[in-house]
Amino acid sequence: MSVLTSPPAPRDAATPAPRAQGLLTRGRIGVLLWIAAMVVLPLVLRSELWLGIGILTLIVGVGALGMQVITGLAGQISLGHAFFMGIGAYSSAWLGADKGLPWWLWLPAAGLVAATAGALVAPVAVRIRGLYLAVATLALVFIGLYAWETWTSLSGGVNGRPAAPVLFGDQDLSLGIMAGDQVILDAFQAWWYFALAILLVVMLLTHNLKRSRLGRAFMAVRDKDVAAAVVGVPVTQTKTVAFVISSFFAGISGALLVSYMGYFTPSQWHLMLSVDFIAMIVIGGMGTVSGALLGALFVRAMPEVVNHASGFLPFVRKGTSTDGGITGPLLSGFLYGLVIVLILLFEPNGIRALLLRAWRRLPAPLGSSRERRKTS
Amino acid sequence: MTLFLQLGFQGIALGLVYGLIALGFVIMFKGSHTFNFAHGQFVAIGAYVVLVLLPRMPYVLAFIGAVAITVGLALVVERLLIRGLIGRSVTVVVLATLGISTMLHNAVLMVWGVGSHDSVGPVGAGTTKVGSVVLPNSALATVAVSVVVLAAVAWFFQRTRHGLALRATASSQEAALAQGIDVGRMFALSWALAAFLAVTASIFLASFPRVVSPSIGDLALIAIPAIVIGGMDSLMGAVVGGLVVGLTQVLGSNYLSDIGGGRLHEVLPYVLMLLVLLVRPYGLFGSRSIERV
Repeated sequence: MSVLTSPPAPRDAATPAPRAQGLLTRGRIGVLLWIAAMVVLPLVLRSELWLGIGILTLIVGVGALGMQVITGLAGQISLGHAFFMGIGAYSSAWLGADKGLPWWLWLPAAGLVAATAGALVAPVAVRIRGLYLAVATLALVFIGLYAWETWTSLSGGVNGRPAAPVLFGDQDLSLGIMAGDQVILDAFQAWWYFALAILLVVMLLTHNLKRSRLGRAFMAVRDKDVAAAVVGVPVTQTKTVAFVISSFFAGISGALLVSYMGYFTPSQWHLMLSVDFIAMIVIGGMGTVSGALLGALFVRAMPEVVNHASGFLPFVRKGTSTDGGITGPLLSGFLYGLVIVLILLFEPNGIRALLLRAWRRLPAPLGSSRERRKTS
Repeated sequence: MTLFLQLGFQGIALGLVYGLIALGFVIMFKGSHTFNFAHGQFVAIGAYVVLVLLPRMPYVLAFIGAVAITVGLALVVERLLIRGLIGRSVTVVVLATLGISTMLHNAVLMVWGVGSHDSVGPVGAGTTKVGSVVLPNSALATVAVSVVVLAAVAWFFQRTRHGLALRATASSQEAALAQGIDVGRMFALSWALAAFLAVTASIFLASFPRVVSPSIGDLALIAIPAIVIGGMDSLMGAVVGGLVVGLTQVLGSNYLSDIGGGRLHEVLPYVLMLLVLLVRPYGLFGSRSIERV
């Protein structure tokens, strides 16, 4: 350590976040309010763009919580999330679409297959840390891409393959839920509630995990693995378990993602997907459930919003071109990278910390600010 | 045997190019403690700038111009976006450089589009015959120039004031500061040196029969297995790792073309890298202490 590499104070994940002050973490009432809002939202929100973003956010939120477990809690940086999501996606498609199993079998199975892959990778991964771990997991992504593209009987090659449908009885979730001739939920609403239900289960698991003996062991390993070993935490075993849990969530998320999209190709399990997930937890806020969800919303919504808004900008070309020119997707990709770096530079603790600060500055109903009320 | 020699030579040529890129990664990592995932985009930008300048001026001037522009860009990125992240966790720095990589990649596509362009190598498509072995001129030029550049880098590190200062900074920033070395300037110097190596590598990476296209940035990522195989903090290891990767790819593309869809050579370096990590997590030449639990 040296003058320039040691920070004046641990700013990243080391400082415990202030509790029970968050928008999403204000105790049980906050969580109940959030759930109520999420239940009502698809009934009042009529924009298909935003409903689509919302559903994708709920689905990738599951994967982001997996990332939070391995990187936010256990401190092991992994670029291999896309690989584990791909494993979940292909197992679900094989079991659900090719073998015709119901969703309540292929969904957990996708998670279990991904978790097994995590357990197989763990012996290599637990021996290394930091950058070496990042590049080792990077290798997984490229080996996975090669496997998906080559194993054409499973993946359909570059043309892709259909995913497993979610069927309730004889009702396909992607067509909406009907009772007789009456539409109870349209396709967007049905998927929203399905994804929300699974996300809530995973949120509860992650929240409880964080407060359990295992979760404390994760954080001990994250903060200093040698110190954790000294106080009796089995470091290797703890890291392995973190990998397995994280891969399990990633597998579930990957299976849901392709099932929602209906059709998928090998190229979507590229390094960029892993980058998205690291961005979610770092931008949202490391080590917290709400941070992962905020990050998931940001990463999903931001490119869409820019893409949408770029239609109104005069210098943006419509359609794609082979000889250059600013197009919507390129502009949103550029701004995505820029915003990641700017947030890292100016708000080290992520959007969650930003919102918490804004929340505390809001004038309270009785005139005094919440911050003051807290200290008095 | 003739085929083996030809392939071996091309493997060495490609490996030296990877070695130049890997060396840039290692110099930045040692000099400023940043593993720069955006380095591949510097390689791509170098190739594109040479492509733009080439019709307007002689080759040497175009190369120097590209070096100047890419080094300038690297210095701006380092000063504005990376310097502020000193002391932050590995995760944050990795994500930041991945973000910069995304930015630069999209910027390249905005300026030059997704299409392929010409080669920008210093020599064209000719071949030279040595005995029964036919060697492409582009590979000969690659080997000749890479060896000279590597020797120059070695000389710079071992025999000049700034090289010494850079080595001192890499080994201990605190001690270097105490000796009156401007550590911030050393960060900039390491990035400038890496950008210079990126441009040098780019003209050979886009040399006949390869062309300038946006995929050059991804192609340069194959230098990452090279670094890990060699050891992340070893200059020597970067070059050796590059050679291993280059030879694996060229020999694999020929001798393993019947297995695994004919693309096995693309992932072989990554498999090799995982094996090295399993046996020697610090790489073949890396120092044992770093990042080892």
